[in-house]
This record gives sequence, structure tokens and C-alpha cells, in this order.
Amino acid sequence: MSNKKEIKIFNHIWHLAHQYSLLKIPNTKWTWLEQPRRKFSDQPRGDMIKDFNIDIVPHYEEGKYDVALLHVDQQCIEKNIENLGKGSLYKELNSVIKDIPKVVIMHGTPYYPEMFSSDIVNADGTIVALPDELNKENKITKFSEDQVGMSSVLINRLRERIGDNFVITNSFKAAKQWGMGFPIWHGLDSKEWFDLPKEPRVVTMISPGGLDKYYDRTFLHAVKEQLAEEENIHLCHMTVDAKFRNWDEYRNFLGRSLVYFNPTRESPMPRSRTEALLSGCCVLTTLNQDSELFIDDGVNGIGVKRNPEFVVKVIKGLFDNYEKAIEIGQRGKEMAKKVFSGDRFQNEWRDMLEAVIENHKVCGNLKEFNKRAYGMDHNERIKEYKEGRHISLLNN
Amino acid sequence: MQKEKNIVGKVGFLDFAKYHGRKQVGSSDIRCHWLINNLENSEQFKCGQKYDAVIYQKAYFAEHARIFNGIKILDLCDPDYLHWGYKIKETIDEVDAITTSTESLANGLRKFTNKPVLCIPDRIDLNLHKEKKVHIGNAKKVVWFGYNTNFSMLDSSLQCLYDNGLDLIVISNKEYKLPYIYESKIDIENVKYDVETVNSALLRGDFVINPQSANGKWKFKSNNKTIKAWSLGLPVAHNPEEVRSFILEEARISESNKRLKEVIEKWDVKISVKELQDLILKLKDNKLS
Repeated sequence: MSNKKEIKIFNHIWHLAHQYSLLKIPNTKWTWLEQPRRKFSDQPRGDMIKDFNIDIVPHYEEGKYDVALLHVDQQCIEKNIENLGKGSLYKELNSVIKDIPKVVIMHGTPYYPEMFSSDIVNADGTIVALPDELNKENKITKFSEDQVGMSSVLINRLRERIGDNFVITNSFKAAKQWGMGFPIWHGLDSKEWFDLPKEPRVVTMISPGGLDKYYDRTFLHAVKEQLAEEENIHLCHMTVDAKFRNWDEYRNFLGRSLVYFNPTRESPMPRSRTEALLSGCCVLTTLNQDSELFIDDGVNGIGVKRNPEFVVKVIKGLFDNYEKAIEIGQRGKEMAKKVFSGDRFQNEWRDMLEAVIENHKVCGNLKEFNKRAYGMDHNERIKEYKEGRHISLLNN
Repeated sequence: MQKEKNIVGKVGFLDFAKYHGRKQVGSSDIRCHWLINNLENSEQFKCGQKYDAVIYQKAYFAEHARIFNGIKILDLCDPDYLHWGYKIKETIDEVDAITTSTESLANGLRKFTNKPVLCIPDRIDLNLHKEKKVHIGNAKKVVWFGYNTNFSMLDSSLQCLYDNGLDLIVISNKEYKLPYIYESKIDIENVKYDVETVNSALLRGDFVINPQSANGKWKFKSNNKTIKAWSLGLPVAHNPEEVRSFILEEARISESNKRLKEVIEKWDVKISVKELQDLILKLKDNKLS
């Protein structure tokens, strides 16, 4: 048992797999708000409420907690979602909680061309933000692959909503794109993932619907169709093509899959890709949102461009070279055990929470602290991550 | 706008619209938003906010009620218990009392709970109904308004409209299409329901028609459409006899004056605010004792 002081955290359900890792932060006491917007997913990690002794409360009460953990993504400021959907949770809690520091987990990136017109990039690299009116009227501008997908309107609007709250992003790139945030790569307990004898099987696991461009479903579907047509290989979209009654079934299925394909375009650090790495799957992934920083192409994973024909060829090649796929998978697993260590993640979070609470206590706000934390050298931090360590915010 | 003094502590209304993330829900306006407009220290339920009392309007949020220690009231305006899809009993078991929009609904609920069930009728926020109809000459145009699921009742009044040479305005969430035999006989105009414009749309008619039935869900319906029309100075015809009588200007003026008086005396939402506060106080006393 650590001697560290217990931190009392006010939170609510959002991304349960992520929260499962957070619940393991040493010496923390969690309280979740009962609310009507977010419910349990189909595959909770066991009975988290009992296992982690989480208090469920009907409302927030001042003086009972050290820090609040809130959640947002790029959909949360879409007008309807902000007022009637999941975005209202952030909006309302942010207005209710006034006495303690608020840490906001930014789950997404400023890439939502379906709802927020993308900026136009001139030949000289200057960026033109399309006017807000276009968004208000839901006039979606055409978007080409060569354009920067980000929307300045989206970025500015969200930054305004966040104010001085301390933001955590899931990737370094996401922090750069938003122009705010302290990136923390997620961490998982490698012992919880099963590296089992591999079926010659290719799987993927992105959310079943929504944010099509962000996850690049067009790319996924093209790969899936071409694989079936040309090679008679059937890609399994887990939770869509294959359903699982519980976490064990999911882990078993994933752990027996030879190849994992990640098609996402701007999703920052897809968690299921890390689960696949830790399960010894040979991971094929688009190289973006930091994956280029830990995937050594052809060594511990395979980087792919958004070219379905190329991906089909690679997958076919891996099916023909089963042993090579296994080898890449094993090296990926060793890399992930270090880079995505659960211990590193929990200790880094613990340090961050202590630093946030202390700075808020001393200064009454987080303005200066945010500047220092957001300004920390990314390269130094990434170097440490690769060794399974982190640079503590407590020393900054 | 003068609000009623709050004597029960902070009240949160978790309305059906908010709970389900919907817009333009008439019952949430009537049962919650209009009360909020007229009661100090009350608001639409906000996640994380601490309340002394929470009203769950058609929001079967049993998980919240189970752990909330303040006064909890489930407010109903439909016989949802007749449909398998709702957890009514489970929610009732967690609250202190149930309020309903009609006595018939209250009687239905009393059959399976011993908890207090009180009818607080639908009433009108008079501040939102200040416009009044000026009646001139014989009636030419009538209005019907309501959800598309109630169109069947409108069908039953078409012959009467045709016989009296009346045009029809339909204000609804969906378009109403005349049965083909009336297509060339009655002039119809469809207006999309919008809470911001519904009053001005209603006032384009000379009076409102509100045909009703004694069967099925109609047994539990409140008179909210009728009193809304009355509050705008519009007579309401519930049957062919009333339609015929309201053709004449004098009859409409007389009916309008009579009903406007009645609305102020009986159907002001401030009366509902008082009834709700009385109930909360009683429940608080019960809890203390």
C-alpha cells in the first residue's frame, strides 16, 4: 500500500475501458454521478462499481472531492448534442462544479468534416478558416483528401468551452491540433490480454457507427470488400460481425486473431489497437496520431497508407507468411508492454492529479500551470514513453 | 414577470424532452417549463446539481430516484403503464408521490400503488398567451392542432366542416392529408408545429375544433388543447353542435369572454405551482415524521 494521500475524484461514465485503467490509479476514491446521458457499454470490465468500490451519487456536492474528471469530444459542441445529448453533461457539470479543479479528458480531435467545415489550406501553407455561418447553417463544404481536415471553428469553440480547465489528450498530435492539452498515452495491464494460438484471421474493432470520416469507414469497407472479392479473406469487424457476451469472449477472440487492421484517420490512439498489440496480433495501422512514433514498420507492426489495394496485398502476404506475422506480433507485444504500460499510465495520472490539485490550491486557478504543462517538450516525453517511463508533472 | 415565492427549496424538473434528448415536446412545456417560469428557485434538471425536490416528468429514471434523498415526484400525463416498454412500477417504488394530468389517469395508477397520487391538471402560463383573438363576422376557417397520432379524430369532423363551408388549418408535427373524398371539398393548410409560432398560427382561425373520443387513450387525455385555445380568446368546438353555434360572431365573442374569465380563475399555471408546492411540503412533513 502506498503512503500517498487518497485523492477523491468526481467523475461519470464515459469510455469504460479507459476508465477501467483510471480506476487503478493508486490511492484514489472514485465517485460517479448517476446521469441520464451515458450508460454502460456491452462489455464492462467486470462489475467495476463493486470491484473498485465506486460511490454512485445523484448530484455534486461541494467540499467532498479533490478534483473532477470531465469528458468531451468533438461531437460535444454540435448544437443538438451540446444541448440535448452527451455534450450537455460537460456543459452542465462545468457550470455546477466551481470549488475544485477540473481535468477534462479530450477523447477526440478537431476533425469532424461532416458537421464542421474543414479549413482551406492555401498553396503557401496559410490556413483559411471557413466562416462560422457555414456551420450554423449546416452547409458542409466539400473536403478533399489533400486538405487539412481540422476545423478552426471547432477548435476555437471547444477551447472557449474548456477555458482554464486542464485538458488531457490521448495523443501528442491531438494536443498540437487543439492547441491545448497535456498528452498522456493510455496504458493497459498486459497481463489482462491473452496471446493465444492464432487463427489465420484478420479483425478490426472500431465503434459500430458515427464519425465516419474520423474512423475512415470508407477505407475499412473498401478493404473488407476487396479482401473478400479478390482473396476470399473475410475481415471481421468485432462487435458488428462477431458479438461477444462478455470481456472474456472478446479477449479470447482477439487473442486468437493473427492480424489486426486499424483504418482510423484521426482517432487519437485507438485503444483496441493496443489491445491487439498486447494480444500478440500482427497490427496493420495507418500511421497518424502518434502511431508513427512507436510502430517500426515491418518490425513490430506494419504501417499502411489509405490504399485498399495495398492493404489487401499485405494481409494476403501475412496469411501466406504465417510465421512472419507471428514474429511481428510478438515484437509488437514486447513494444506495447513497455510503451503502453499500465503502471506508467497510472503513475503518470497520479502525478498529474496531484500537481493539478496542488497548483489549483496555491493559485486558485490553473492558468499558469496549464501553460507550463502544455509547453513541456514532447520529444523528451516520447523518449521516456519508449522506455516505459514518464516525466512527472510533479517536478514541473 | 412575477414568479411565485418558493417555499420548498430548490426544485429540478427532469422533463421528458430533456431525459430523452428531444425538442418541442408539448407535455414538457405544460408540465415543467411553464411551472419553472412561474416558480422561484426552480429549473430544468441539470446534471450534477443538488436539489431539494426533483420532478421526473415521464422520465423513468429509477436509478437516480433510488439514490436521491430529497423529495421525488413522478409526473405522468399518459397511461404509459399500459405499454410494456416502461418501468413505471419500478420508478413509482422509488418516489414519494405521483402527480397526473387527469383524474382518470390518477385512478388508473392508484390500482397498483399505495403511494399518494394527486391530479394536478394541465394549466396555462398566461404570460405566454397574451395575444387575443378579435372576432369579426361569420367564421370561415377553423384550426385543429395536435400530434399526428391523433389525426384519426380529425377525420371524424370533416363532414361537419364541409356542411358548414369551413376551411381547415392543421398545426401538427406531420402533414395531414385529407381523405380523397374531401380533397376537393375542404380547403386545408398544414402548418408545422413550432412552440414559438403555434399561438399566432392558432389565431389565424376563427375557432378551434377539438373532437374527442371516450375510448382508448382518449379516456386519459387532458383538456390542455381546449384551455390553450380559450386563453387566446378562441372558442373550442368539441362536437358538430358547437361548430354550428360558433359560426356566428356574437356567439364566438360571448364564448370567448366567458372562457377567458374561466381560464384566469381555474387554469392559471400559478395554481399548479401552489398545488405542487403544497404536495412537496406535505411529503417533507411525512418524511420528517
